[in-house]
Amino acid sequence: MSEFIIETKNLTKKFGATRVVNHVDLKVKKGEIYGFLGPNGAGKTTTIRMLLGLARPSKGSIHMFGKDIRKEKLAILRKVGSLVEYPSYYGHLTARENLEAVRVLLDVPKSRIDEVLSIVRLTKDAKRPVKGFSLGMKQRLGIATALLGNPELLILDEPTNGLDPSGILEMRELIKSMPKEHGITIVVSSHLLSEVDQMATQVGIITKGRIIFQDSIQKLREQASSSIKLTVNDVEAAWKTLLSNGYTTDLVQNNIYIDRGTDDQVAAIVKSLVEHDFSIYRVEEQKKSLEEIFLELTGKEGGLL
Amino acid sequence: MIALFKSEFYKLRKSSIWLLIFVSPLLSFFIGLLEFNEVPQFEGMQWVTTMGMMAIGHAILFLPLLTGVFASFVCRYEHAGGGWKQLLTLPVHRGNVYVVKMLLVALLIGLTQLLFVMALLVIGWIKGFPADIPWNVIGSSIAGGWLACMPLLALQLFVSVAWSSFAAPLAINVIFTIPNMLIVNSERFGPYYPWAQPFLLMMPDSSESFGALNASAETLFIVIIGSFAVFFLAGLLYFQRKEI
Ligand SMILES: Nc1ncnc2c1ncn2[C@@H]1O[C@H](COP(=O)(O)OP(=O)(O)OP(=O)(O)O)[C@@H](O)[C@H]1O
Ligand SMILES: [Mg+2]
Repeated sequence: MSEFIIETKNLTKKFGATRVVNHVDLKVKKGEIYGFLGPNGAGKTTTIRMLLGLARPSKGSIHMFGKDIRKEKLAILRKVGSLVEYPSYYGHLTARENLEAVRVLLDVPKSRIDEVLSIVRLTKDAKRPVKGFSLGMKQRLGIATALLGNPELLILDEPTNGLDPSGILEMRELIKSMPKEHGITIVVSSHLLSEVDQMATQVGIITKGRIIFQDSIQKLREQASSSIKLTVNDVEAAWKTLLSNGYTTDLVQNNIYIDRGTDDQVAAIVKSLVEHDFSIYRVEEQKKSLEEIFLELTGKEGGLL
Repeated sequence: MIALFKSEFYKLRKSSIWLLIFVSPLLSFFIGLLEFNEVPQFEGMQWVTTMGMMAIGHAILFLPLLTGVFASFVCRYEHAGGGWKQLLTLPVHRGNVYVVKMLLVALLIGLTQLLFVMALLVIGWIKGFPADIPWNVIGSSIAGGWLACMPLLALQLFVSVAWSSFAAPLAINVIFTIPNMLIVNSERFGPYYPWAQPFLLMMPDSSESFGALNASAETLFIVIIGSFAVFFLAGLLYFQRKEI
């Protein structure tokens, strides 16, 4: 068995001729909070629908808990709780009745309903018909339903959609507490980097159906940190000199950039410039924000931040 | 499968749609009651004649309409709140979901038929019909009416699952039910028209003679079972492949 809770290979979904999900290789390890990040229309929901067996892949494979979804879908779904796009509910039933209709299918004890209701703090409103719920309450009921079967994996598609700031905070704390308290693995999609940044341990960034980054949040932050900007008198000559001395730097808008250089590298580059009689006006550290990295990675059109 | 049935039954019970099972038996009851003076000549045949009178409105109009309404309804609460998405990400077989929904509607129609019999019995009791109730005729009429609803049910469930609108499948059902009055008279088309079949199987032989009633029971059974199988398998296959 592989070490991954979710592992997809070349996962592809075509609608007509367009590949909405394009050769995606997701890798989600146990106990992680995997932030699935991408601008609107990137293919997050489509990917998640395939993970849950709601849509069929055009190509590629999905393994969850080491099982092939084509062969053991029910065994997989038994261990998964999910919330896709907007919450699902039966309007004519109360919150408790909604949970009961699902509980029967999951074969968990009745007491579990009270547990999940209190986790999402809906105990007080449990006897009201759900059609009178606010979006935030429906969203919380959706989370309660997802938790009902004691899942090992939670897949949440934009769970903070429609929540107010305190609701968002609450949801975030709830999500963060799950892996610690229950050993649950979580995949949470979002189009907001800041949100993913605040809860995820792993990040997958998807845009136009392709995964363009998949690693730990630290790795993403590292990309965000330090590049050193040098302002010198004759930029082009300086850049060429550095190159001929074996230092690869970037020349952008009359400045030289050293990406992710160690202190020693920076010192060596400066020394080399001085030795070749360039005047160095400034040596500055440039911090790229995560936002800038995200925009850089996803292309400017993905700019919904 | 049993758990699914429990869950579906629970959702349905908490809605009020099942109250509709009372409508047609109640109306039929009054029709049967009012028809008091018209059939003195059928001495000894009161049970069957009265049932024939009651069955006209019930089987031509209400059974097809109710079948459509119930089929739409068991899909409606799934379409409305994103229920399909939730239900089908639970550990359930899609095929079972489909079959259970169908069983549930069949059950509702069956209850309607039982209430219809009860209405008839009450009328007979009020009017003092002969004590030897012709259970054979009544039983086969009730069961036949129920059975004949199955192709229509399979068809309507297919349409309701495919169409996320509640009104559209219903509108279709109404449109196809309206010409029923004419079609039951047609020996050629009647037996093949799913909306007419409940009436054809429910009418006791001895009462009014409609054109299509002359079609042999054998033909009718073959048509009904055949078309049910076709509609059911088509719907099932569609539902299993449907992307949510
Ligand atoms: N059933 C469908 N038929 C055709 N195109 C579709 C279908 N479903 C999704 N798409 C297209 O696939 C693309 C990706 O959609 P998807 O819902 O996966 O994006 P997303 O990443 O979830 O976006 P958002 O952040 O807005 O939720 C979109 O361009 C959408 O128009
Ligand atoms: Mg989405």
